Amino acid sequence: MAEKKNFLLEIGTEELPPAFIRPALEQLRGWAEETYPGAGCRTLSTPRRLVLFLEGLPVRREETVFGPPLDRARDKDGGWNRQAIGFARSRGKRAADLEVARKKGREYCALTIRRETAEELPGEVSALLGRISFPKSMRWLSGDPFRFGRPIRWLLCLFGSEVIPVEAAGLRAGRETRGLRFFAPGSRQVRRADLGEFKRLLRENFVIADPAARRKKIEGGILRQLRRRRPGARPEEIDPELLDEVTGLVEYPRVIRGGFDPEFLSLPAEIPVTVMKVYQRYFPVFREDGGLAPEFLLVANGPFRKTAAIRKNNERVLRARLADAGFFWREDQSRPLADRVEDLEGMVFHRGLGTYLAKTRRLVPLAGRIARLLGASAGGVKTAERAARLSRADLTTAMVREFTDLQGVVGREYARLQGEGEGVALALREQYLPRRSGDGPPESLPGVALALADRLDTLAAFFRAGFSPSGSQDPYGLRRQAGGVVRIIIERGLNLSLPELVGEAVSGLNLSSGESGEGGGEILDFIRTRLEAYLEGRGFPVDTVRAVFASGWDRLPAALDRIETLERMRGSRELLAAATIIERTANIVRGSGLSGEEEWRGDSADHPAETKLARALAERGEEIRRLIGEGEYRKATVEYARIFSRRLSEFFDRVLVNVEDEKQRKNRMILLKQINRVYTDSLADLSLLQFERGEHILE
Amino acid sequence: MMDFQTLIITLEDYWRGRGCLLVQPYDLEVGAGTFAPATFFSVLGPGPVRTAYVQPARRPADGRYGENPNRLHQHHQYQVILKPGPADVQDVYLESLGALGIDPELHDLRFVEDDWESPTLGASGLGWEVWCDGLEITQYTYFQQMGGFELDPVPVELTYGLERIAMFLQGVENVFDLEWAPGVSYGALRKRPEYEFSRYSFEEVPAGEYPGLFRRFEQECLSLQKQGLVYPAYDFVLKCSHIFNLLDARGAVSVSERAHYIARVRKLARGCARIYLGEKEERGKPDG
Repeated sequence: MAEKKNFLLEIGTEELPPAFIRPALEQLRGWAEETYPGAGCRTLSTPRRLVLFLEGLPVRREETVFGPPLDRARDKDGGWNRQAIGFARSRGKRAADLEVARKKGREYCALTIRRETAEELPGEVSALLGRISFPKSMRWLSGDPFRFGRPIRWLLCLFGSEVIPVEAAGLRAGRETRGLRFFAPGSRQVRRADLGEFKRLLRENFVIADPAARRKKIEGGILRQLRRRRPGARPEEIDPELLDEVTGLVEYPRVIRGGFDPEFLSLPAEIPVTVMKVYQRYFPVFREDGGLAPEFLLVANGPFRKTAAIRKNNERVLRARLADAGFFWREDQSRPLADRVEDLEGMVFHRGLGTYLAKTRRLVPLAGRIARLLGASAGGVKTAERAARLSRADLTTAMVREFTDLQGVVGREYARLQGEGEGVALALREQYLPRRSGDGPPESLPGVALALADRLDTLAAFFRAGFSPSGSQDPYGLRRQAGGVVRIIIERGLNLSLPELVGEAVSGLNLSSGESGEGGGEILDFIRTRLEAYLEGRGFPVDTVRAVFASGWDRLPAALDRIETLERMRGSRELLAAATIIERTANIVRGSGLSGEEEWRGDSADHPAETKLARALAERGEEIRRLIGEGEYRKATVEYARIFSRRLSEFFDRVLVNVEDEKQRKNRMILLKQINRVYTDSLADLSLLQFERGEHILE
Repeated sequence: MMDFQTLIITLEDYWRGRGCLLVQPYDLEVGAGTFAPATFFSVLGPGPVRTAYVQPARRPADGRYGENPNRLHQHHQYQVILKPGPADVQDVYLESLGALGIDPELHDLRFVEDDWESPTLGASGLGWEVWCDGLEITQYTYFQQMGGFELDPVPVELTYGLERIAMFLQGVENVFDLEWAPGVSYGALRKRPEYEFSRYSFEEVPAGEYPGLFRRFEQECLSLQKQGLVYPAYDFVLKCSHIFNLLDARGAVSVSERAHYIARVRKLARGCARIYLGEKEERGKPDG
């Protein structure tokens, strides 16, 4: 057994933004798995440290390096020649170290090179630190272009009990770590690379280094507080995103309860809730009946013995924020939303893409058309158009200027106050849904119409201007926009045609700009990639999705239905049989250039198996197409397999397709292509399904 | 209890003890301590800098006629520039809070991500708001750019919000109730100016004439730049910036004009930075 030791790396930083931590840990882990496969890998993190622990790294690795082939490495006396000795020297070895090794049946002059892990690590780790990328990185060293998410202030790097003197970011790694600021001043020596010991040492110094443990502690603390008021409080009530964020803001959490003046409960609940969550990172507290309680929970960082001052001061901050919100609330009423629309002329939607007023003017007809496509009444269409007209007016309010996250909420609440219909008010909020993965799509029809119109218009405008995303780069968040379109249509089960919608958005843009531009195809392809990602995320295998999409995907609910049907039929004899039919008919026709639109000529057919097959197609083909058209995908598949499986098998057994006579060959191919198309035209191209080997059958 | 002037003296004393050159507030209207020449010019170029000063900062749009307990047309910042930022800058900063009597075992001190950008100065940096019990008391920033130029060495800027810190220390909820000195309230000194300046910026600013003033100051800046008089030229950057802030508060600037004004000021600031750096290269003067 090769000797092994553990490895521990701690990158000590000034406070990293919570969102930076996970991607950085993933890169550390990726490096470890690539460089030292087989070593157990663990990561830890707090706002002030990224930790990588590897268990059982080999102390050295032996590697055979091949030199010249033996027949060119010997001199005439059988000793090593100059070439061989040169090879040894180039590797820092002598002739005596040379040996003979075999590779692919041939003998070579070779060397065994030992690589000492401890010698490799400094260079490896230093290169690794320079490679970690962040959403945003910074410089802080003089005359050194080194960048990191935030300044690195200490490095700990141990291999067994030995320090690996990594040099990076103007620092040299040692064995010192640090505890929680103020409560554990100075540094602490770490004896050796031992995860349990390291965690215990940090724990004694008020750092819970494992983010999962920290999250759990916060969750537990919040739940205890909630249950003091309401014993039935459940963990699901705690906003998971806020919990993640707060976990990334503290090393040693302590949950503290505070309160605010109930007078602020007269504001719509979402306003104080957003102020608390987004601007102060407090957890709001809800009453039994779902209403907001005038309380909040904050997570402080440290083992405070006295918390009264912290509570009181936080309460004061929140009071000032809520007083501001109350002030804006009153002040904004001096001008109704409807009067603010024209102010949008001065607000640029995006550089080079015009103003929000221009966007608003495109949204009105687009939202109206989508509402009509959704079957809205005349009133519903009007509501959607009115909501589109007011859709961005809240951007000009003092409330949204101060609390940008309230966009949409403010629109809805002001619309209600100003006597716009409830439908308009709801749509103003719903246009931004779904905002994150936990949100549902809009509920109301005008909300759906506006949400779709806005996203499609944004996509059309960005693609028109040439800002389409490439690779991993998506600076304008267009993936999210396209993903929103997909989620709304699928999750609301809307029978809308995507090409039609995209076409409407593109032509609306053309109309307003006076230009004519295409680009709808590119947008559709882009939406399709988001669609595939979404469906994969829901657990549908890629091959099923692709098979179905190959037969058209413009009506998403139907496409989803087809995918689900095929998934349910996975492993069934019928699906296998149908797939075999599709695959074999496709294979043989491939490259012939035939579309199946050509006429199959009965008078050229001279074999009964062929005529039989053609008759089955003529008699039953339409029936199968009808079943597909009615959404009876399972029945259609079963029927397709039943009609063609045996007949096709017989045909292939008895009839040679690739005959000399071109006319006859083509005629047979036309027939096969037509059979293929009965199914693949609008259900799925089953030849794209991946089956286990040997699964194909024809009865 | 620490009154407002003692707060200032304590910070002055603390940073003097940390090797800072104490300079005086700049005598033109600025929107933040960053705009004062002691920051704008000192962060450019290679030489080391340690400097600190109080800077009254004017934000006409934030005026509330002296009626809002938290908002002021003019507040005070304590500005510290350390170039290059020392490795223990966080500790040195936190010690300054200790000097103010903020006990870190009784208060929740936090560094919360907040990157900073000033489109008018062509400046940007990465950093944090420092929170004390949920209250933002300081901006802590590693400048990356100023006047459009990448900075090396990288300066650290610490901007203390003095009114907020004083309210925190004195436990008052209304800024006008602060004690400036024993027996003298902040309100006694500042309430009337707050009211008058709010009237001025919201009601009296001659919206028709000031755009012309902006243009004249802009011209002046450009012609001073041509003569290489970079400090006087920069004064006119500040004047332009202030005129723009007044027009903005008056509601006389549409949002598209807004972007246009900001771009014009930025162009002037970049010109000053360029000339300042170029001049230094020619004469090979040490920075300072």
